[in-house]
Amino acid sequence: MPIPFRDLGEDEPSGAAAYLRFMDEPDGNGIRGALFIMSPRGDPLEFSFTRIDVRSGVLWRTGQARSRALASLTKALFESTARVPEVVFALANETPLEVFSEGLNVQVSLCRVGAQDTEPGGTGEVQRLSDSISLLWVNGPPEVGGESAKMVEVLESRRLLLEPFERTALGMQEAFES
Amino acid sequence: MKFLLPWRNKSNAFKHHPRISRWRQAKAEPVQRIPLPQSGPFKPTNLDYAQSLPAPVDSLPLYPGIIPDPVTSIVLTGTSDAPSKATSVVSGNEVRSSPSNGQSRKPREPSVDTLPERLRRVLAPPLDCLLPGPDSVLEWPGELIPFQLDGVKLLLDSETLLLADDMGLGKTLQVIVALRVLFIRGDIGSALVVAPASILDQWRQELQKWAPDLRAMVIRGNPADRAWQWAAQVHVAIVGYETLRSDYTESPYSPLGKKTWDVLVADEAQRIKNPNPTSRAVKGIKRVRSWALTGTPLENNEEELASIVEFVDHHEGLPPNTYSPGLTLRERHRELQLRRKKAEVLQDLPPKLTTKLKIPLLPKQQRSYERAERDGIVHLRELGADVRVQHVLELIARLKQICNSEPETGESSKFEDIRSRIETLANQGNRALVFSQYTSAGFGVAAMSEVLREFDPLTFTGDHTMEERRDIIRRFRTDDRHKALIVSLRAGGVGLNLQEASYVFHLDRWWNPAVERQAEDRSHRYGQDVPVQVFKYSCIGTIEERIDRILEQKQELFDELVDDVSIDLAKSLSADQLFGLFGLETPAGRGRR
Repeated sequence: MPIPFRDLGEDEPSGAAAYLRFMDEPDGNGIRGALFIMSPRGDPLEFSFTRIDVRSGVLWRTGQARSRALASLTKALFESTARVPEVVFALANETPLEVFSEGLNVQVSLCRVGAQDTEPGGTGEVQRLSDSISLLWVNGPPEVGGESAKMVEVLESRRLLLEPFERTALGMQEAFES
Repeated sequence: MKFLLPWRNKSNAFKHHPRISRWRQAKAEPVQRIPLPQSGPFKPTNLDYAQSLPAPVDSLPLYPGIIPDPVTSIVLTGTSDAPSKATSVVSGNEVRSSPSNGQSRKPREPSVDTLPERLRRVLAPPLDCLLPGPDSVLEWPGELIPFQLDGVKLLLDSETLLLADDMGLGKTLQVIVALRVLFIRGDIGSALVVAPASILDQWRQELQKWAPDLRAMVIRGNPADRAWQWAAQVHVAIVGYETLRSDYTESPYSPLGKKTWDVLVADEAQRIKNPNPTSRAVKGIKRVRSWALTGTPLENNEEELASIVEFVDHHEGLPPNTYSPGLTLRERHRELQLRRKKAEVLQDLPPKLTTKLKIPLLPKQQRSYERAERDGIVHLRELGADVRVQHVLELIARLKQICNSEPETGESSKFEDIRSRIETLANQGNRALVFSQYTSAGFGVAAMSEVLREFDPLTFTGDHTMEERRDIIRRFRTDDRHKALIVSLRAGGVGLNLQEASYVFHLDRWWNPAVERQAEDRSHRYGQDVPVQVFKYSCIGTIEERIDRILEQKQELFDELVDDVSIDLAKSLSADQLFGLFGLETPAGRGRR
């Protein structure tokens, strides 16, 4: 058992950040989801992926099936991770707020990343960043000075708030299509 | 079952998802041993890598009718093989870093192309995040200039490359940055750098500076030491050409015979220009990537280039490529070479101003020289049909030594001129490098040092141990009381960075302009901020003037072949030229050298 310690001289946050992505399948019948977890330096740590059929029929209202499918994917992906990230990012334009507000209460900082003018929806708080990015905090922004806030700061300074979503997409392509 | 990413189902209808499968791995290496499912990532069939969790009896799906496929979750720890921090020094000056967490971080062995491996590659941080620059997630001690970044990117993409940038443009730096990025991305697990003995420590220091997270070790010492050094788990092993030649055997059981290096770097690759045991040893090393570094891929003739191209154009597992002078070689050379000239890429580099000083011998020197030349020619004639090129070379050496200094009195016009110039430039706060091919106390480095003693000179020759050489360079770089560093051309002509000096003197001339240029570029290189003045001496009416003409021709050859990659090799140094220096004809059957 190692002796627990914290290196006070170390500025680097020690945790991880997660990036959640969804993509429709080419035939439109299903949705693919992936959760990419990386270190604050951008090192890939973990990649989880799965898919789900989107049901249709008279019992499902328009949009309801999709929303529930996304929530179900999210839950399955969260359940499968081997580590707890400091913060989870999703893209606002592909992850409706309902996914988190209706079905799940996620207990780490959860942020939908959108363009500058994205409406937060619900009661979430919005943090506008200089480079045309808005951080839409689902459960409120992380505590100032806390590990999550530090993580966001570091990722922003390294321009790693949006870029990992592109990597996640590449990972999905590799995982689903190879 | 535990939920590692904490969440709570608001409906609290169930605690566990019934169809989640897992693939958990604690380390990267086991990933490579675990087969991927044959039927696609969603239906794991092998319980070694995936395990279907039993559905709890009391669980209900959150949304009946919508259940995702089993999740495949892959732990990607391969990229952490290049450690992010290193805190301690181990075992004297050899292993320079060790993991801060006390665990052994073994360089990764190349792995098979599994899904986790492919994912790790596509999920690796983009290059722009890793390379030196404002957006880099890595700590770099400085920035690269654009042409250097281009070189790094090409190295990252190339299994075979002859990096032939002009001396002083940072070839070593480009390679180190590329190595670090490759290690961090997990693309390589081992690298071997072969370099002249005089610059092994410079490689280690530069690695320490630019890639502090890599473990580097210089392989040297007695055979017993070297045996464990070869077996040590390091990222980068650094070895001298001579040591490599000693240790290399083709036996598959030898340390060098059984290992395949991910990268093999041949620095100052002109050392493998000839088909000798050293060259064969370097070419015999098993490797995936072959990078050759030299500012002078051609020193004398096209065969030398062929040898270097053979090293670079290597594909492990395939029969070796062999080249001979001709169009094929030149075309392959053009494909494999990246060469940038200072004038093209370093507009800001101060100019190098070369002055050829033709000075008369002093009276006693003149008499001594004339007598030696006269006697030497008589001796050559007396040898008749037995005369060899070697006899001519011996005579040339004797005459050059007299041009440096008269053997009995020590009289020397060159010494006087250099002393006078250094006195002036030292008063202006400048410092100088003096190169000689001789180390002798009569006419070489030691004699020059004695003449310049009032300027507190340092000497750097092959007689010094590696430890002493490091100390000499450190003292010269840090203590400006030493106004001159007098260097043996063989020991210090390559690899050293000595931008502290802005004046370079060639006490005597080497046969090869490329070697002279390398020596000058110890000072005239990236980081130099004042013009570099080069003085080349030759004594009027002596063999040195005649040699100078040959050197000019050879410079043209270098420019044609290496810079323009076209060649007319009619100008190589021949026996005719050598004998012609003394007005003699080449004896029948002696041919070209």
